[in-house]
Amino acid sequence: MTPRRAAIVVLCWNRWELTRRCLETLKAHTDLEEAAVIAVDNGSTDETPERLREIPWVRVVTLASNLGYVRGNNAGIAAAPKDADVVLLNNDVEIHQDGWLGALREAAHASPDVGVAGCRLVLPDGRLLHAGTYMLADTLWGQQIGALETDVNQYERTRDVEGIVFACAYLRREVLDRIGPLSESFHSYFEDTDFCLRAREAGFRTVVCGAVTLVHREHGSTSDEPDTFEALFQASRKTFGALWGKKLEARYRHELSWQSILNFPTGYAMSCREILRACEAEGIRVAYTYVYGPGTPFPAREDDDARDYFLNAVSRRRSGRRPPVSVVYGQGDVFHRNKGRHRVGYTMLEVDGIPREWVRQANEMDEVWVPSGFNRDAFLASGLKKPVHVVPLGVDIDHFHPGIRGVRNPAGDFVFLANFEWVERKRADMLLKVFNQTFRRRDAAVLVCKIINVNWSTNVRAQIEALALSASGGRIAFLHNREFPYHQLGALYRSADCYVSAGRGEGWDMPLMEAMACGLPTIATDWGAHTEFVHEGISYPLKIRGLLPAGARAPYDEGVRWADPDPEHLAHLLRHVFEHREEAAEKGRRAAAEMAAKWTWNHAARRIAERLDAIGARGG
Amino acid sequence: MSDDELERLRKEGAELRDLVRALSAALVRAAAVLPPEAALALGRGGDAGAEPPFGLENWDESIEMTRADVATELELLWKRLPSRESA
Repeated sequence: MTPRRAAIVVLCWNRWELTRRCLETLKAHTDLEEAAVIAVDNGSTDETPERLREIPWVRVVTLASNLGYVRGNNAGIAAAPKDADVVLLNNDVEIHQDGWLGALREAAHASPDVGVAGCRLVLPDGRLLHAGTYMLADTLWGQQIGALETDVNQYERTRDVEGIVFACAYLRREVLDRIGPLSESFHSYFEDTDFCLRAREAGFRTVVCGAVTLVHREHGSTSDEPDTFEALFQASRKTFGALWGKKLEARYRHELSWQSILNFPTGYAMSCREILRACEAEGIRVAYTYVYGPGTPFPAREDDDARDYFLNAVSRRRSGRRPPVSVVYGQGDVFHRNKGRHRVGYTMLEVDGIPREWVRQANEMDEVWVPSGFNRDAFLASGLKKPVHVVPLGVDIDHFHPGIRGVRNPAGDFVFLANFEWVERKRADMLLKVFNQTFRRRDAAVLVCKIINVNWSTNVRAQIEALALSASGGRIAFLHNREFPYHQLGALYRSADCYVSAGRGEGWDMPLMEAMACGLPTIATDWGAHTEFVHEGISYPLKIRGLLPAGARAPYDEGVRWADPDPEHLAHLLRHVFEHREEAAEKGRRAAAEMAAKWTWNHAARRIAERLDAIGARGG
Repeated sequence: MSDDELERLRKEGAELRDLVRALSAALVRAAAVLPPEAALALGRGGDAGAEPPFGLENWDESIEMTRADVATELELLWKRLPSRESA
């Protein structure tokens, strides 16, 4: 079938250099058999009108004066053939990708209910600028997803979003026929979100096609003139609020108080951030408060600034003194801080028993959530009397996927990666020794250990030296106490060929899940909470020799056990993966597919919503 | 412990490390002029003198986590990776 033609509308207002670059790159990377190009000159007073007339493949629509962004674009839409789709393209956008238009068209026509398709936009310095937008009802201040992250090819897939910026917007003819062009209630700003929301009300989805990336210079609009920008922006915001404020509020199906930790480099904090985002997308209005601080086992005060617009907004929401439902997400010794009428304690642990104090506090809750059957069994075996529900964690498949760009070893070595805190539980000593003994220095294999140590009394370097690793054995490299921005972590995994998690037990093992989502084959101890999502079809389970008393610096009680991973089997698996790379890569591919299909944060938030439905049905 | 004492200990530590490296190098030079059997016997006593299989030269002792960029860190890591041939 012949693809539907598109009319590309380029709105121009002075700044000819921008328009020239836009049109030159457009011509270089676009099949003009499939597209008509319409330049709308919005009353330019520089050389733009003359220069546009010199370009034979551009149809020019001349407006006598600057009618603004909305009416200027609408003039272009009106000039487009009535059977064509329309692509709105800002004149400060550059195209450096062949096939961009076809990919956008394909995304827009992938299903009859897709109406609007946007793309990834990057700044000239390579940072990501846009991978979709969302609008918080709290503030009516639109946010660009992914803004200013280092571009590692995150958001690669085509995915649903609430809105896109119209610097590049593929609008299907069906949508235009149904809802008309941009709303002239706006002069500039908010018209794009308004269009996407109107499209949604008419039954059309908005998607971002991550396979297309264009460069956006973000100049040439009123944002270069602060006073004009502020006046236009605030006027549009007011209009938008009147039109959409109540409707945006109405999207929440649940209210939830969430007491946890957000602004520290801990596993609970990291996962808390993702849960809050996923709950919002699932229609759960979460109000966050810090659960630790003075009087708790972790007395540090939390920074008020999460350096994230959404998380700061969620932290400013008020849930009241006695919210209907409150979840404490943290260690079981802070459950007592739960302030809800229906009280939920949500925790995890890496051993087969739960501390007595945790169980005592858990028995004061109305229900307990744990991410795995492993933890559920541990709680029940330790004396929990209250209902316990498995509510799994998830993984962000937009930042952890096989298409993320890593930094490959230039020597071509096969890279094993481990990412862990330097504590006894992680069995770093075993991993280092086994790797060093399994491989020879001349082998094209290397182990990279990303180590975190926040304990002054632990001298990691001295402990490594004390292992007396053989100079002729396998080579090991270390990244010590480096805190990488979370959005870049996928690049670390994609710089490796196999991930190793050979510890004694895990409460979940987020790094393992992230590595699997990135498509790495993994070697993981066959015991612990992560067995919830790890199995032989997608990983290499590491045998254990049995269970041992857990005696580390942690709130464990007598009789609590963890695993004794088998070093001989670890050596076998390391060598096996090294020698069977295609088999291992296939396991990695299957792992990535399974993580995306079953274990995203959206899945986790859906499970939370199900619990809230059940609690609400009981009048909780 | 005062800052001055810490600084003194750091310097002493660095001097000791340099001394160990110098001794190791001397041992390698000595082994090079030994008869093969004697050199092998010395070698069986360990890997003294050979470059270790891990690079700790750029180790940052601080327990404060450093905010870093993955690409920059990995490019540095690959550069300082011990070579396959140096043993």
